[in-house]
Amino acid sequence: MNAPETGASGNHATDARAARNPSDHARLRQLADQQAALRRVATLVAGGARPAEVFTAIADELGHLIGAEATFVSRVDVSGPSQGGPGPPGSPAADPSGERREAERHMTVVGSYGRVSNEVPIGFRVGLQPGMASTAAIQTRGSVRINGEKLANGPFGAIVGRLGMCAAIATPIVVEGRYWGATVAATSRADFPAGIEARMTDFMELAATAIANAQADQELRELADTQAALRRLAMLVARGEPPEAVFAAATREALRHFGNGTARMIRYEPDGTATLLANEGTTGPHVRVGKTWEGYPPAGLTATVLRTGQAVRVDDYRDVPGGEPYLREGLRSAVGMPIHVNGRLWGMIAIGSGGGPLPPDTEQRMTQFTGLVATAVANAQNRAELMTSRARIVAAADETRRRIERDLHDGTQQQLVSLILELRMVQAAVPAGLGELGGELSRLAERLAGVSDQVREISHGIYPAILSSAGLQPALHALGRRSAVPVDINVRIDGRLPEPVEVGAYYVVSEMLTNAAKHARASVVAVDADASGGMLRLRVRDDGIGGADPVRGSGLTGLKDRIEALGGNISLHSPRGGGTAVSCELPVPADGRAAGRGP
Amino acid sequence: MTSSRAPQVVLADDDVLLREGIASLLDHSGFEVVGQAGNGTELLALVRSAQPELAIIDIRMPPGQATEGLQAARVIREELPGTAIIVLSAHVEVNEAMDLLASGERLGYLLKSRVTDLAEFIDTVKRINGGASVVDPSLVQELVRARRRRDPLDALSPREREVLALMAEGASNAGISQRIFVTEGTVEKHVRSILTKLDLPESDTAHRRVLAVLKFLEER
Repeated sequence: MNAPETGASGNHATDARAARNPSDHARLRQLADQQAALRRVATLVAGGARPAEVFTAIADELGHLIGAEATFVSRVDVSGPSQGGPGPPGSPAADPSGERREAERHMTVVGSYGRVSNEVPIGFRVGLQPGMASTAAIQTRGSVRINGEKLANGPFGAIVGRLGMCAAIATPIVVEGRYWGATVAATSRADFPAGIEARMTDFMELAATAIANAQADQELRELADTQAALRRLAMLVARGEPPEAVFAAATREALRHFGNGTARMIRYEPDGTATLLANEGTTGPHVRVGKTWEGYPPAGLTATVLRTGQAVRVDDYRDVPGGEPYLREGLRSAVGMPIHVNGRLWGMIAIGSGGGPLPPDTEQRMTQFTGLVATAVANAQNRAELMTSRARIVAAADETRRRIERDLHDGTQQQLVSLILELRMVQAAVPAGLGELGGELSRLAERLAGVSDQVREISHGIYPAILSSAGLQPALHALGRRSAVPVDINVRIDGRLPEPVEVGAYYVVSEMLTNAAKHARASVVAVDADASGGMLRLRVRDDGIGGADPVRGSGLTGLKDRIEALGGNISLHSPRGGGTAVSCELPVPADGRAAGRGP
Repeated sequence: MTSSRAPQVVLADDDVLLREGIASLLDHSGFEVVGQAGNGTELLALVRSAQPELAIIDIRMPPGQATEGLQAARVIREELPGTAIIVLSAHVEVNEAMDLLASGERLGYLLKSRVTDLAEFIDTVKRINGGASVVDPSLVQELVRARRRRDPLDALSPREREVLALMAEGASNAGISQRIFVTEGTVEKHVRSILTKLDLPESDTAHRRVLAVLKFLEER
């Protein structure tokens, strides 16, 4: 914050004049008042006041200092691409082509004091037109005084008339070397005293630092807010929340940070339709979340973002043919931001307001946010695709195992049995006089029988045929009978489950029984399986030594992959000395498929 | 065979080589193979027309290569309950065995590879044709060996376990006495002791005994 010395040294000429002037005391008091006013503003900034408070304080202090009855501070900006909205005749409000118009300079009131507050409230936005004191001040880069007829007939003639103002002075505001905006002071007296411009300029030069600080502070806070919102979104995605939850959260955050009434997320479908994914704030009969977004006007946000792939704004829905539903729900203006996912226009996030046009930097502020939404969408989509592809890989692997089992079973094993049978019959036909030949053939047949048994064991290990022929319940009982450790099996499953679920559950139990026998030194294993309410719940626990390490045990890791590929979850609890327990939940899809959902 | 007429058999297996092998074995062992089928439909047609004493059926056949043989066996049981049936399978499962046995007497459920023990296989076929019900020893072994926490089988002596397994396989008391080289009277004593220890009822037929013992072994 500037020190009083700064103010003094910046005004040598004025100080020198004041020293010679008979009204030295008055000048000194003015300086003291100015410093006190600036100190109050600086205190506000240091206390973290919002920019609107700071700007209003500046307008307020300025009004008091120079005896103006109405003051306002406005920021000049270059508006982004615009759709509709108020403007000079022939401006693109009704431009049917939807083309970008030339960038225009606007001013937005950011702080106002006195009677003017009702007429030009904070947020009031208007194009910089010729004849306006602010326009002249910014163009000439100096103070401009307008009074009498010129003021009454100017662009604000009506307002000036209602307020009974007779004279106005506009002074440019330079912040960090840039023409940032202007301040306007008006009086109902015939005119301001001479020399008031210099005092306004002095004050605003010093106030500029406060504006810069307040602005930087605000930007930082917004950045931190946006970062926090982005972090919350990123966590939702990382946690694997369903896409619907991510969409709803992103839309909520958009409303919180940028919106002033409504936020909506819309997805463009490959067939040319659009779907309303989430809605926050105002609503109406046309707002049906999860349904096709219909009846939107060709010059509205949805159509224009789809056509141009760029940020689009509507400054006034009264100027958009077909915009009535939005007016009815209480919207006046809106901004739509495209969401590009993997290089393709995926959808749009739109925010709306019941007031005047949304702030001109809305698009710029939303860019980073929509970028993250796009990342979140891409992640959610990739995750869903990963889920389905994992499920496909598991299914393909199971199918291969089944085929190998069949080939062994119907082919290799059958041929072996056939060969042994033939050999045995040859052996039986060998005449008694041929000595060792019969014995040789017998030994050959026995060795082949050994191979046949081995093939049977191998094919059973590759894929237990009982699982596909009889289902999970008999297959689990068969597993239990073959287990080296006694098994208590308690299965409550009606009928058959989808094959991937049966296979997944089978391998969980199989792996646990193997572990119990090989490593856990367990004396009993309990297996509970229960299928109800679209979920198979499986619990396997032994009374062994515990300490099973899911990282080192590749069997357990494989199980986790398999179960998660089916959209299920599995957890291992194996404290040293406390036995090993596995809990597993597998969704049982009603349509018989067990795969991840699409986004 | 000493009987005046060779028992007639129908064979069903989609593997022609193996089927011909078994047919040849049966033809040389006192049976008359009156028809061969490659799937369930052909088998049913054959059984209906030839009305053989015995049908030997592969469990897995076209079109589904699943349990077509089981389904055909069920139909035969309903239509011609007097036909003895042997179902051959590459692997044996207790629920399939129980299903089959529940459908009536003169029934066999065997691993396919049993056909390669020529003498034993022919002996089994003859026993089934003569009224016995037979369950594959490997399945019985799986049931007997299954570990249980409070195992009722722990009450049995090793000899009694052996006898119990043979009962489950479908051996008669005479058959058991030959297998374990004791007198039939000793076998009877073992059987009575087993039934008492396991709290099993006395069965009036060999078939019922197999069913009861299997059921006990599975559910213990």
